[in-house]
Amino acid sequence: MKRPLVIGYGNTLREDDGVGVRAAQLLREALADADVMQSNQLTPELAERIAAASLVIFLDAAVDQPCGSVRSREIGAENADSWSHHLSPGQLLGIARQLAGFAPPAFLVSGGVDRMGWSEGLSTDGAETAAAMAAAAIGILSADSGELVAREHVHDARGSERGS
Amino acid sequence: MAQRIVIDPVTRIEGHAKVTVQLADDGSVADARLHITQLRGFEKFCENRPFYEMPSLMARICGICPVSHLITSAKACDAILGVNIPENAARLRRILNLAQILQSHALSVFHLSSPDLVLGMDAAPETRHLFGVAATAPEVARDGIRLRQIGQQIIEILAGKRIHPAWVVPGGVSAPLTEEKRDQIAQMLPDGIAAIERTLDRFRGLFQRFPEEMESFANFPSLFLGLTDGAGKLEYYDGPLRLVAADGNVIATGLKPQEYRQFLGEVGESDSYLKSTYYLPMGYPDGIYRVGPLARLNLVTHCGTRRADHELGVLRTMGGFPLLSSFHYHHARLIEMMHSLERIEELLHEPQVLSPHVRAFAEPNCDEGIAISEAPRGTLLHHYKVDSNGLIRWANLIIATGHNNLAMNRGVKQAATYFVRDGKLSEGALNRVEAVIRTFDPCLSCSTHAVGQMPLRISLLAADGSVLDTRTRAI
Repeated sequence: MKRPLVIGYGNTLREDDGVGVRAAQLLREALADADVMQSNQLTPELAERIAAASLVIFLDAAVDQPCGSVRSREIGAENADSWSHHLSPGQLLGIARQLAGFAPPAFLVSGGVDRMGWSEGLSTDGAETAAAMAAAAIGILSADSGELVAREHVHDARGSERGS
Repeated sequence: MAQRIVIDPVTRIEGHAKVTVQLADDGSVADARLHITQLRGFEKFCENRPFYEMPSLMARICGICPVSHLITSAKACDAILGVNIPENAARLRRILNLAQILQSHALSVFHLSSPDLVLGMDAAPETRHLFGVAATAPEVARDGIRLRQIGQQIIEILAGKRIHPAWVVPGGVSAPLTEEKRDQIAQMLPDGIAAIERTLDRFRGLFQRFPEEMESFANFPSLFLGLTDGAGKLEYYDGPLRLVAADGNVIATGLKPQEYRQFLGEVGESDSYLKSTYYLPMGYPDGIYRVGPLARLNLVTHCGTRRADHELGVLRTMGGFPLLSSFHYHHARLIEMMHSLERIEELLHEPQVLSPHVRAFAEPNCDEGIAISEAPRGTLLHHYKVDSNGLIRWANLIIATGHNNLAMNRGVKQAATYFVRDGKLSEGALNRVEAVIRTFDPCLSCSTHAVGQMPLRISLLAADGSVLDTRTRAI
């Protein structure tokens, strides 16, 4: 039976770039019925696991959204027009579909960060964002996925929340 | 007026580089140079660090082949400790190194070079990537991804994580192999062997579609350097170095890595951050040699595993012996991938593989440590000197891409001479000049220790040095 797959990725040597990885660590402790993994980056080798999953949630840091905000949105498979060593979640879904014939429903949960210096460990804001990202992922896993398809969810790790 | 072509960046390689092609007044290629445009400096900033930090620190040189640096660095630290590590520690390190060769070669063959081989050198640039291959030949992409995944999974199972594991330590490894992990690794191997067999069946014919590339991709006499087991068998972890000539004659054997200063010279290039090495007795640049898969298969008598030896025979029948064209690096990599899987299988079945004796403990007993192992791209050397407190005072690294620097430069010139027509660099010619570099699978982050991603560029220069054409490609 297929299970959900959660992939937290980022560079833990670049401070809050590791919020996705930390969120995945929190989920690994909290979830028994999902596969949770961490990765430095998204590579084609993940395609096989993705194609075998019922649902995929990507957890990543984002510098193009307010620090502390958490955004959840459904994403689809994309065709890649170039590739070196790193793939976007959509491109990875695309290669899963291309090679295995199937790309499951997928969501990207992104956490806004602004501290990405040369250091291990998250800032206080980053740690809060990672926890909020984990909570958002649990929300997706426990909700009806049909409902989530229709909306984008934005949550502020420090309190406010809105749907779109 | 003579011209100059600049290709910047060179794509689908590991690191930043550019190529300059100098044209003569009549439009023919007068010279061509590969410039490595980045510097990292690991040899300097490791100074004053405790020697036992070196394996983990040196592994950070590269995200593709951290295991190679980890192992070679740990071996140099073994020498500083002055210990012979337990037999099973060496066995487990060998398995890890073979998994590293498997995953790195898969990246080179499938992710970086298969677009040229499957789609053709003249295919539209926007399709020349792994997804383009997946659209045309999904089974090739699927096997390539699977093979790299197997290599990475073996590394993760053995060493705890795929990139920058800390399992290999001075004196051995930090934990023995469990029965469960052994079985987990063993059950992946048949799948990998089947994937390589399919790939070889497919690629043997594919390679024959590139006679011009075989003719012009660094196809010249040179020496070949690499480890053997001492008796001529393929070896990656330890042993003496062997040097063979372009006619196949062994010109030096039993070379001790610890005495490398007596037979290897290093020289800095004024237009590149990458040092060149050469065979000292023949001088610079006549002492040009190659390392890596092609060199290894040119200097051994056999691989020592059944399937790999069969394919080595096929390659030598098809291409001759020794193989002088660097185009054959691709085929050699596939053979080494097969050998890696077969050899891992053998090592896993050795009775002592689960032995708990995997680490020797000691204080530093020597003030110098030199070690060599075979990385995917070729011979890798780490040399450290420490003070009485075990702090690093000096370090020197010679990386495979540095060994190959002279040959890469000569290869770029040869390919440019062959494919530049009337002072123009067509898209197909541009790709071929890049592709000759890709045959060596250079890792520029390793060899120059530079921060960066992947690109390169090519310049066309006039005789007066002015730039007439530059090709720069975003990646």
